[in-house]
Amino acid sequence: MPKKPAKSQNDNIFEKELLPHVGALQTFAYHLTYNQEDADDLVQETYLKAYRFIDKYEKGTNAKAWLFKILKNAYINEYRKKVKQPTKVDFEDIVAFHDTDDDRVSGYSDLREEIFLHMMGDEVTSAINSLPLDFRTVILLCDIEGFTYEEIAAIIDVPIGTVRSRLFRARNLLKEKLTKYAQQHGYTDFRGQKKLKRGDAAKTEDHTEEE
Amino acid sequence: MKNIDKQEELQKQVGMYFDQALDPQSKDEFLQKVNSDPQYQQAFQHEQLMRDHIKKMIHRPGDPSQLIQAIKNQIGKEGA
Repeated sequence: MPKKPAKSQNDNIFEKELLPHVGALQTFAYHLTYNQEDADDLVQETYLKAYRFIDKYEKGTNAKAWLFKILKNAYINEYRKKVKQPTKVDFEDIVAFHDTDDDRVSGYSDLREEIFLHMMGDEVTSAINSLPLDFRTVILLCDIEGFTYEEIAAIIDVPIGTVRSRLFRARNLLKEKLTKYAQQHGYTDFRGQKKLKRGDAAKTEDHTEEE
Repeated sequence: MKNIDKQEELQKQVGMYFDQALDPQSKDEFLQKVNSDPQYQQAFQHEQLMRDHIKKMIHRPGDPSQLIQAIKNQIGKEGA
């Protein structure tokens, strides 16, 4: 019986350090492309590129950030050209133009818990997917994948100050969208009144939640 | 005015903590405040809840094993 050829060191690195991130890349790609098939193609393309250029990867360094950078570039350089999204590009150019080294750091803290926790996955996903690409990207990288500002700056090739300001704007925009979704679904935020009513039903039924 | 400044500082620190952007000393100081100041504690818990909820609720594609196999097959073809 013929012997199986021994795996090269690069094959081992590929399997042990790069392949474990497929799931995270799939999630990121899905929220860039909005569909599973394109997301899988993009992830596959990312891994083929990584394999071709594996000599440029230093064993034991940040494989996940390296792969995310390849995917982000593949998306911008190839995928978006293929599907052509001119209006988004224009809008994002404007967003990029307004990026500043704003040091303010934001949180979701003034979005009411009661409203937010009623939201299901579809609403959260829709709100994130409706953000402009640059904003969506930083939210996904920071809040979903847990990359640091430095790592995000390296992945998307912008200064750290820009990462901070994009996150600030992205979170504010996301908060606005989530609040709108909540209102559309009948949750009203009575700030200052310390009451939360659930649609019209609250007027006739005992659905009012005290803070 | 002082209250607004304090609130802003609080928001800033909570955000930076969860973004892993505080240096070790600032992180320790921040966590001490969270343990001793109810306002800090509330803001901390609120932010944690929001972020956990987003992470939990966001759509994630299922089991990646098929895609992993497809990647391996493709690489096998290229290498052949």
